Amino acid sequence: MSSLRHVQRCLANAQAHHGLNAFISLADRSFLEAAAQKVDSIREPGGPLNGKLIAVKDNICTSDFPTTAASYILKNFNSSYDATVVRRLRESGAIITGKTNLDEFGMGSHSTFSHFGSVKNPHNHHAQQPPSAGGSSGGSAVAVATSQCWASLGTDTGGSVRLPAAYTGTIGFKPSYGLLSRHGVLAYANSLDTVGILARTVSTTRSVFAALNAHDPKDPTSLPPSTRSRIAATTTTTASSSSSAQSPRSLRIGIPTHYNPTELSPSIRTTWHATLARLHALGHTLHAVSLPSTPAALAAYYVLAPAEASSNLAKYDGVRYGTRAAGPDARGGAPGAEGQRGAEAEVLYARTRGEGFGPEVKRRIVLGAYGLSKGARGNYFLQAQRVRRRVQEEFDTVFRVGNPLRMGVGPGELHGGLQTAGQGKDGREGEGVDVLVCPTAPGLPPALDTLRERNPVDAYTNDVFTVPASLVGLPAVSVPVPNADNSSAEGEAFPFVGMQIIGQFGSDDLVLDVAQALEEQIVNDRA
Amino acid sequence: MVAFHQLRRSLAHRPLGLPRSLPSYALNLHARHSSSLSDSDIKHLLSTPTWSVKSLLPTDGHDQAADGVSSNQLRHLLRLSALPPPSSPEEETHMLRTLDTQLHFVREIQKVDTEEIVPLRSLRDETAEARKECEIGLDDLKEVFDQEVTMGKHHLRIRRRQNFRVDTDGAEDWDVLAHAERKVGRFFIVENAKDTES
Repeated sequence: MSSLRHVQRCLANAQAHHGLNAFISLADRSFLEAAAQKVDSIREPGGPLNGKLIAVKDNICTSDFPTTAASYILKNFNSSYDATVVRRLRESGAIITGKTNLDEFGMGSHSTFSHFGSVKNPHNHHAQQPPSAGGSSGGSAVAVATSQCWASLGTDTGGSVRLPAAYTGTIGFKPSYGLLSRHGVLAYANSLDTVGILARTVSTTRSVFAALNAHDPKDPTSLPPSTRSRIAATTTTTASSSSSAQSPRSLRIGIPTHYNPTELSPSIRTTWHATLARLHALGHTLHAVSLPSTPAALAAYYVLAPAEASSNLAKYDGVRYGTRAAGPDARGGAPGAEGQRGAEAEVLYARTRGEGFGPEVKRRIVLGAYGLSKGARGNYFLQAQRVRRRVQEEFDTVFRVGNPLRMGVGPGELHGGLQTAGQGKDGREGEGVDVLVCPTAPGLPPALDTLRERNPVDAYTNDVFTVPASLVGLPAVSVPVPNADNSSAEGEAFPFVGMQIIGQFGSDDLVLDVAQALEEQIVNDRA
Repeated sequence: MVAFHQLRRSLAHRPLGLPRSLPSYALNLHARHSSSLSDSDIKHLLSTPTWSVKSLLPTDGHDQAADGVSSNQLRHLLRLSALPPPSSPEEETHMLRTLDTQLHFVREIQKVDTEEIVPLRSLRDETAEARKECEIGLDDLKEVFDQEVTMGKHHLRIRRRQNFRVDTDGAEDWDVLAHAERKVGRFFIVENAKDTES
């Protein structure tokens, strides 16, 4: 298909699905058509991204659209430069179609905490109200699900790419932490933030990943070339002798028993079972594994992410950039007269921040400030970092290959930790699993109107299956699998369930291999 | 002694709500067996939930006063966050209740035995090679040291040659004021109102 026809189809879909509110800003028709015609006029065949429309989550900086992070405080902010991931997309010939809606600064699970209104899920299984599109990259997921673009970029801090992918029936891939550059991505929780990819097929996801996966000297957390080659050495020698999904060797698939809480929706439990049976039929073996810190991991995330957010968002004061509250920046005496001012005196910039941030952002900033405050820091922030290490050790115990970030760092060297499955005491190999297969979310997307009555903390439990991989930086992908539950009303109403594949750090290709194998099965079933 | 220590660790490790008796194959954890689970094993495994998400949320009878944050503490946190104080007693009650629920939720981390555990502060390459690569040695600074000259005979002083230029392209050549809404010349404006009541 010519780029022009591709662009025209996407634009027609954008018009038809305007009401879903996937975009905060969208390029002009004439601009996109001209860009596509330019691509078509060059006879040489380009790469897979050439002339394709890619949407970008609005917390990733672009020089040609505003970058708002769905916040009032940045509603008029225009970046003077492109994020590295955006620059790389353009260099691969992709056309940026616009900026997608999200939960403010990425904080939320339903894409409802946006200054520009909620995103709506195109798959409506509730009678009147549209279901949640998932968050925080809800706009990116809906834009892909409704073919308003070829692929999109999101960000995933605790599940923000995988959850909306699960809710909208798309592929949502969070690569290993540090592979894709964060330069030009507005930080929410920098030790967890990862750029992710949403697409309709695994092969599209791979193409975009290949275009972005490179070291960036401008991002201090970007993995350097030396680490990348060490990762390649570990994962090719031990894990993936099959880089092509066509002849996948027999894999050991782990079923994490702690990803099965009482609250897991029956449809999801049934579909999980069906997915495992399918993988078994393909010649893979199934093994129960234990990740007992899963509940604590969720709690640790909600200490660490808000703590980092309270620090990262401290810079939004309206002075250097951002929308400023009208009138003076503070009231109540001369600066420096702190002691004499009453407790009610305004803090400098407090009005700008009070008007500029939405309710969930404020809730998380205050929670983060608590976790870091004198007296609480040890029991909250530091304890959460220790739990984070524990979660990493547990994953290392379960996987067949060791963690390339910790090769040669003996468990005893740092702490009295757990044994790695792949490097047991007796040196035997092959006891651990290659990947974990589990649901992406504990439930099907809830109706938007039911969310308003819920306690904001209830929504945090939605992230229980996505947060552990984020804490450890593991690659994880959500794949839509047809809902296997045809006994309940719930099962009949919603067509698919997001299944998640998690791998050891650096085994991104393997995780995508399994996703592709699953995808091919589903396509075969339909045919 | 070692065995006891490990037992204690594994017990402390068990999250609340995890049943004491799991199916036999589930106890054969870490996949320390090479044969696959059968379809009926999987069916049984998945029909046995291991914990409840509700255990993280406060129950209805939860006593807020027992571990609640005080009004003064809340105001202090808001000041630290550069956010305005609550506009009404109702808003304050609401904020306190939310924070209390959040704290109840995250307190799950305190049930994990983390003795001897080194905190994971950030995800980075922790291998010996990577640590070595991050070291800055004399060789890396040779260029800078070569620009230094030692002056004086009795009182030695180090001076840097005048023609030495540090490359700051891309780091210092940006317009700091470009995005500011309020500015005068080369300055930002930060306005403080006179306290009208005093």
